[in-house]
Amino acid sequence: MSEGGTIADPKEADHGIRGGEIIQESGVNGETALVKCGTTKGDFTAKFYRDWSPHGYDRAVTLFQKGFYDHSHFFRVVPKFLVQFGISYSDDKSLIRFGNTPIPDDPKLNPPKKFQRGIMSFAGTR
Amino acid sequence: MLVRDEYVGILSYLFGSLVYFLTFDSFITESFNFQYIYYLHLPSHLTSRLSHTYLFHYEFKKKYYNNPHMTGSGPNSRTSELFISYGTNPGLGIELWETPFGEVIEGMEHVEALHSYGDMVRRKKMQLFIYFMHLPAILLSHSHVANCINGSLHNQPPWGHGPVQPKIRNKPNYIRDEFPLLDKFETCTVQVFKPGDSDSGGADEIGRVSHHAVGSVTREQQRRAREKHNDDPVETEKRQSEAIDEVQKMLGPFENGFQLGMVVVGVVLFLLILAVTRRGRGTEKKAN
Repeated sequence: MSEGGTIADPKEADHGIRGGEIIQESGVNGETALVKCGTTKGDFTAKFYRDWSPHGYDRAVTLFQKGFYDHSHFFRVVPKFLVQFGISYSDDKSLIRFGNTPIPDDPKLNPPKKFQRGIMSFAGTR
Repeated sequence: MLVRDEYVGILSYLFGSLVYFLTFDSFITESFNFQYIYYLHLPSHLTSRLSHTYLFHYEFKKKYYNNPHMTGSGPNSRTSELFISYGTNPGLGIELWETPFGEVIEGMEHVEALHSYGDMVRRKKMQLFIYFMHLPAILLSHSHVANCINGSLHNQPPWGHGPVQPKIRNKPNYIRDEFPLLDKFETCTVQVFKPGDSDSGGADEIGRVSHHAVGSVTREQQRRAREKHNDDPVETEKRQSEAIDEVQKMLGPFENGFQLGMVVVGVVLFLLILAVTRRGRGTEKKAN
């Protein structure tokens, strides 16, 4: 995953609208992050919004930045339902410890965000 | 009350009473995650009944335990496991940790191409139980339901053949040996856009950690959260019995049918398990 080319400014990009439906009023207040990942089936790009879930955003952005998910498996892939990942093979013990420390819950958005195709969230772990 | 309305026909009733049974079972054994129910794509009248049951289940736990999710992680439990939704899932987003923080904006077709072994493997007993739950629908050969169920028996939750998390964490070559086709990440890059910045698109340098503190729960906070949710065992027990009383009241006219259903289901299930385990032993011996 090292694709040349610049990523457009999200303020001008189509990020607010996908499939004709408004998902997020442009990121005026909140920080956003573009995460580009390579997988064994091809690249994908995700956009994270701090407004949606501040704690979740912070944790996810930091983990992606530090390479927590690099080379880890998509171990739970259920067609039409979801794909789950996040068991790191990193050698960095402090990173693993960081990743295993729970974060506080965030309040639900009002109205709640619907889980449509492509929406990302934390999974419950036992 | 949720449970009473939309009583649609015998199939719905049969299915419904079985679902109540499941509700209580999961409530008691804390072993079944209800989001799977949504996954069966049942006809609308069944779905609405099931969703009511789900809501009922949720409200019940919320009211009496101050914690709607007893079966999974509990409050403040998010760590590092993430998921990407493949479709519209009304069953997701209810639990505390299921708060979306982002979305895939490009390359979703690649995400959808990831290899699937189906959902996690479930214990045999639970599988049998689930099979049995759907027996009435299959027997009544309601074609849509039957098709959905047949389609879902092998590769959909909770009937998959996929890996389980504890083994991924603890067994070094588990995935390499048993799930060689699983796809994985290569590497990722991150660009952070802060609202204040205007030049260069407001992008941080790639890989730089953003300035704000990253939230994490201290042990003290966790302990307090836990205390808040299950204070005193005597109190909890009292709440439980009160809760069960109230639910029986709510079930009202269905109560008898429900209990009868539970008994019948229990007996037949027991016989079924007995039969299958016997047969299972037999084949094992043959194989040896």
